[in-house]
Amino acid sequence: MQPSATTARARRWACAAVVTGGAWGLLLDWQFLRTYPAYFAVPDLIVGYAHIGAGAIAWARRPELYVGPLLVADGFVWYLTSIWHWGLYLDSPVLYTLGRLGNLYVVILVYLLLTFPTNRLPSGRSRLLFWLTVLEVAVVANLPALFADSSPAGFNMLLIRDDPAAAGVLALIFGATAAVLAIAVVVTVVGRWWRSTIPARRVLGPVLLAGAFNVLIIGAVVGYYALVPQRSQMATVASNLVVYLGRVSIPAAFLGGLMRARQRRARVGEFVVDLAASPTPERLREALVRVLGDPDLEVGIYVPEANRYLTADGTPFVVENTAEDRAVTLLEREGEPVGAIRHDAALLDDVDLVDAVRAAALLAVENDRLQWEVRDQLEQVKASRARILRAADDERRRIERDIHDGAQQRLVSLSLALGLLESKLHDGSDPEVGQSLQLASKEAREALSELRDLARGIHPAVLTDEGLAAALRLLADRAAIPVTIAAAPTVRFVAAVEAAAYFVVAEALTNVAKYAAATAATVRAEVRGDHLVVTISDDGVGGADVARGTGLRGLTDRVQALEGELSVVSHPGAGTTVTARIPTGS
Amino acid sequence: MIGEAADAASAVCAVRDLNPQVILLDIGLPDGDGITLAEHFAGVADPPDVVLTSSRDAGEFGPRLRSACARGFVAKDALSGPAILTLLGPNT
Repeated sequence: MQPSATTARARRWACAAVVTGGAWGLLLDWQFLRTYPAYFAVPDLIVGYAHIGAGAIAWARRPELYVGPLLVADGFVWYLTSIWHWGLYLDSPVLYTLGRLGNLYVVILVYLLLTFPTNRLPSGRSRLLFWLTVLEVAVVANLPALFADSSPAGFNMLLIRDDPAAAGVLALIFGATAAVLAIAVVVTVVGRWWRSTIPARRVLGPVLLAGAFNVLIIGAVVGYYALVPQRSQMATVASNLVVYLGRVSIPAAFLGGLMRARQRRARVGEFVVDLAASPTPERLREALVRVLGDPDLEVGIYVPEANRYLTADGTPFVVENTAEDRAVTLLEREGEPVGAIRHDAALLDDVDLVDAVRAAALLAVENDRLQWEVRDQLEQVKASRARILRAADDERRRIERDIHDGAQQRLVSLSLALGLLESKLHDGSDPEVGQSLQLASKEAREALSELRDLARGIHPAVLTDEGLAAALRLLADRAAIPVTIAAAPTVRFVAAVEAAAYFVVAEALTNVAKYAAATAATVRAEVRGDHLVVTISDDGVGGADVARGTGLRGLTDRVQALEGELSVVSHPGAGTTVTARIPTGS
Repeated sequence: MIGEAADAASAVCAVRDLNPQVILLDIGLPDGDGITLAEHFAGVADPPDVVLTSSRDAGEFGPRLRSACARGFVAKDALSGPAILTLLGPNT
């Protein structure tokens, strides 16, 4: 995926959050830091920074999720709790009272816990829990303050009247409801984790761990406070630090969960490489199971002929009819269905992951289809090349026959007629006419001879009528140098095979005469297995180059059209050997 | 010349009826080939001398022509009484 404009914008926001968050935390905690010992104030500062920092990273890395911005917001809200220090410093009851807004950070935290990593409250119960939390933080938490002022200078603006008894009862109610709510939230998250499939558990796991850690810590601290009313300052500081540690673990856990999801995404790359080797639907499924950690994942490949999706084992893959926790991602190319993946619905939370998987799977399926297409086209091209060759051979044979039956016959008749005339004039009554006749007769015979050579070059009749052995013999007889036929098959082959073998020998012998400066050549044609192997070797100068002459190039095409191969071995000074291997079955 | 035949079948009949001394036989026949027919004639009682001819030249028939049961081959364009007589030899 390209670093899109969205990603770049998210990174800028994350940077801005870190800078302003740093300043904001320092500003709001400033009076706290000034008036309290460092072991109280610094952890407070760190908790906020932890939220802002983790949020900024999450924002930059996963801009499509709301988790980053919410964690950052949580960090900003956290520092509002410290405003009361400024209230005291500036002598402002308003600021002092506004410090209560800081408790809203709990609302954001609970929302994150209940929804992570999606941005929706998954059930009616979680929605109820969320709104109860809002009520708790906004109303119940502030009720004790209506009847008691814990500020040193009467700064509590919520105070109606001083009634320690009422305040005590309300504080008890608040404590009890808060505890119940906290437990309910934890139970809900555990339940969600329990019902989740493996991919979702991986993401939710760290958050759950941090939640449990916090419940444990708070429980321990509350229990300790209740059991030991008289505590040393050391113990108070230590327990305070442990509580802060728990708070810091929460943003870290959110970030951890996101990063685990991210690891998975990094493996999509490997997955593509994995698949490239042999992209079958079954391998695609295996690879997807590995990458997504969803053992129940199914893959359907769209079969246009059947107009439906089929799984690797050929059973129908129904795109609709999906259980609530399963989702189907369709693979499409230019709007045409290619395949479909049924997977854990939790995976949809990671839009980028699903996109990456979709792209990779599409690539794999497409690659398979393209390979198949290329193979198919290659077969078609091969078939058409063989057809063209056959058609050309048929045409050559036809032309040869036309020449033989037409012009050649007429020239034969002409020669005969001239011969007859000559014999009639044999008495020598008119020597001038006799000479002219002889000349005409010679011309006619030469024309006939040339025409025969031409016809033979187009397609030798002997090859069609008598077969390869006779045709090779003829070639050897007509060659400019002595040619030995060391072996020639007595059986007949398909016309195209015989023609290819014949023309290879003819062209090779022509080349021998033209370039090789050889004294002799040997032709060998024999059947080896299901191939006809034709070898022409000479004792000439060598150094022939297939690329040089169009003759050999054309022969290579002819032989390859029959799925055979032509090779030329021609070392300078060591003669030339041309070998053609032609499948006899074609 | 004592007879003529347009194809292999009628040639066989003609040879049986006329019992010729010499046959000028075209290799390219409409219903067969002269080389095979010459073999047949070589097998009859008192076999005639066969001279093969064709509008193609000798080389185009390969080794079969060389081993044919005939006195020889004259290309059609070179056909003449003397050419045939040369092939048949002095004892005719």
